[in-house]
Amino acid sequence: MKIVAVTACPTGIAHTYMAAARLEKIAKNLGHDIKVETQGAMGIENKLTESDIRQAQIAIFAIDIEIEGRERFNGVKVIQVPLQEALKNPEGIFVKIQH
Amino acid sequence: MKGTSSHFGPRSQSPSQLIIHELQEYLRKTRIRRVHFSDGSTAPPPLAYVTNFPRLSIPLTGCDRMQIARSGRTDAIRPVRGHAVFVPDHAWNKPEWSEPVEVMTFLFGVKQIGISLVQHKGGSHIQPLAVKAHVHSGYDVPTHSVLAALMVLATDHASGALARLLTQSLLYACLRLLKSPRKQAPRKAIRTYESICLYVQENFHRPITRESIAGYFGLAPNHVSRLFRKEGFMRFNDYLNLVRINRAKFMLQNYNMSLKEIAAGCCYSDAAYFCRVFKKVCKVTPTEYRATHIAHAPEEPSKTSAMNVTSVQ
Repeated sequence: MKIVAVTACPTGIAHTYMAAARLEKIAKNLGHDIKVETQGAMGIENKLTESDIRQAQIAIFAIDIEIEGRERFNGVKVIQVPLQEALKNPEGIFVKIQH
Repeated sequence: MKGTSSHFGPRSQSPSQLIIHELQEYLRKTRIRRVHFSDGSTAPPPLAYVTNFPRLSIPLTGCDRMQIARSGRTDAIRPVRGHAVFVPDHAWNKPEWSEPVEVMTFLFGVKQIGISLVQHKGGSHIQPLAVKAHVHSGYDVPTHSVLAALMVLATDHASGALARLLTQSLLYACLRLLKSPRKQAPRKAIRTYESICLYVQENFHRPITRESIAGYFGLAPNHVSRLFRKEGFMRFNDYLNLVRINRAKFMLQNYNMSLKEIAAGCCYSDAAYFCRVFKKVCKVTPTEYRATHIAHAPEEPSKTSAMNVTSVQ
């Protein structure tokens, strides 16, 4: 499955990046193709392109603050979870996706 | 100058009571006469302080000699009581602590405000004495608004009456926050964890370790690990590395510094080790990162004093 994701937390120093790393790892293990955009203290990194988003079957938002450019995801199925979910139980997010 | 030992002698007051008392006395007797604004227009020298949140410091006694960046130049300033130094996010300052000084510093973090009262005796080998207090309930509207207004002034290096009065107002707003009864203060473990995070963000350029942090906060090293595992879902060292790598990214984007200088600025003694950690965290090497994220031509000073921490891409 093609997945895009966005992670963002208020301080944007650690958890944004750690959540991104966990999502990437689990997705890879499950055989999904994932690209994760981080919106941290250094701004948007690994930015999702229009075509990334268009090709994705699902978008995961693991966020504790409002993200920039939410409108880019209009028309894509979005699963939004608190960022902690991606740190504590990232597998659970992917279980949700399967259903 | 009055005696500097009194605040740190044997005391019955808690750190936050002491800070409230000192701030109250300061505001009763002193008006802000001058505000120095720093920016990030020159590369931070080794051991400079730089954070991704704004800071304000006011000397109480003595002279807080330091270097700051101003409009593309590095200036030496000599702030004394009645002066304030405002350092916006990503700007830097480098205190000298070459002579005795007592200084109160406000860290305006995202989730909390940290206030420390530090006494330097002069001479670099003596550990400073410090007390610290935190406002964990976050910002109220006055504090947030006054800080935002001051951030705007900092970007135009405005140094007139407005800057002085806003700085004074910010001190009053902080005092009010400190004195207000806590509504729903978070659990102690969260408070301690957040205080440690703020400390790491302020001091990442110095050789800090889990053990030194534990000593500073009066905790057992294992307790520090447990706090990070339980409250932050990570290891202490991972957090420290992320803070340092985050700062390295900023320096790679904004300053024409060598990898060795950047590694040293983030307290990695060895540039090769720094590159390994960077690659592990970011999946690309520092050089590749710089090539894709370069923000400004090297000779152009970076515009880093803006309040906005959004992307420079």
